[in-house]
Amino acid sequence: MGSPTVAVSAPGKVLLAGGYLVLDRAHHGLVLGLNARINVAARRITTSPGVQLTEIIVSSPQFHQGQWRYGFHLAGDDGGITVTQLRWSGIVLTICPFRDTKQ
Amino acid sequence: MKPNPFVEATLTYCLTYINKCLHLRPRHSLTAAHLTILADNDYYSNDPTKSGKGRFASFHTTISKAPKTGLGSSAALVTSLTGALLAHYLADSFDLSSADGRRTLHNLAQIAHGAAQGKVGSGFDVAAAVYGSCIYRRFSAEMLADLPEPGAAGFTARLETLVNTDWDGRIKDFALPEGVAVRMVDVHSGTQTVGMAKGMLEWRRKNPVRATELWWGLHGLNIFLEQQLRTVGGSLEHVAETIARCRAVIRVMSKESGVPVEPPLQTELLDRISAVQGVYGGVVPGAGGFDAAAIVMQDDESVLEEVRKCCESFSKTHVKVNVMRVKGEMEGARMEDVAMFDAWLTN
Repeated sequence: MGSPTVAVSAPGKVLLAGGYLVLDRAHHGLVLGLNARINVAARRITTSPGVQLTEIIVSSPQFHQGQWRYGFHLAGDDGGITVTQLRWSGIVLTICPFRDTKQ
Repeated sequence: MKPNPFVEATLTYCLTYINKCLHLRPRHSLTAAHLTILADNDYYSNDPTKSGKGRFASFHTTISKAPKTGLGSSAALVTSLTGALLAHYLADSFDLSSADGRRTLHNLAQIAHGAAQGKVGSGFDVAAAVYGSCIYRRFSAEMLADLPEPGAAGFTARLETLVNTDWDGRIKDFALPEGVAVRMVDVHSGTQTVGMAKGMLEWRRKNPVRATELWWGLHGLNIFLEQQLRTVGGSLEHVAETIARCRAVIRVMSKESGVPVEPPLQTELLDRISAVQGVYGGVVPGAGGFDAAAIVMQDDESVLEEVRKCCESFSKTHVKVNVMRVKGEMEGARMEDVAMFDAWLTN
């Protein structure tokens, strides 16, 4: 059935020594990981049988309006997966009032 | 929702790579997925828009309006998103604890992060996000030069090759000795520093002899510092002096180039904090500027309290500064218990 939710985290960093020098392969930098981390959980979106969604939802629930939705499709010529951001709230009506054209 | 170039680039590169891997196995395909991001509180300043107890605060504002600390999070975001996508879709082949797994994560996250930024940087931030604390020598930017744009012919094959090969950078694990901590100070100076790296590189191009002299001078001092801060065979006796000498060269770089790597405000702050008993010293981290300071100090509550007091008194006379709870640690990207997401996983 659906794969279980998985989660991965990665630490922030501080470049303690080697600012600017680290841009150059002749030099190096001393970088420390920090215990402030970004955590990401991934899970499958379950759909009804026969329905296939090609969508990725990315949520950042600590913030207002923290959600992005993306559609994806396979590009030709070995061009990989192309990702397009979708309108986040489902239906978005675009109204063009007449007064705009008079300005 | 405002576009997020880091999320979008990560999805583009990761899904292309994952789709290629899945195609080798029948009856697997890219299915719809939901990714949930939680950032530790130290990435955002304490302010009235922040609420909630527990590990992760809620904000009464959008992500772009939330006040960020000087920590920066794009590399950690790209790396954790990449890791979660690999672990989710390639559950039976991706192993984050193996050298191969970390290489896949590192290479893919570097490529996506560079694409989102529109340039290939040194990559130290992604390296730390994957491998944790390290001594880092960058990879050659030319390695990525022949990767076609997403969607262009041959993109997938070239991406797969790049992700699956060893790069020419070098990453050597590093750990602070027992009893030593690096802590971050958030500086609310209100001064934005843009184009510092560009300014410094321009100065260096115009003054190659002087720049080489300063760069190698600092290079030698950095090696001293790394040796002295080494867990085994290091000695803390001269750390304070070495940090002071590094800063002296950095101030010369600042003065001659006109790029405020260690501006006078930071000099004042670092000098005051360095005078606290139990503090070895502090630097303006990374490319420098006004928004953060990193302090090397004894890992001790009473020393931390003294540094806090020092910051409070500095805040009264200069600009607001505060010590963050965040601390240097060794560990890089890792699998997490999904229990931390309880209460946050909604549809």
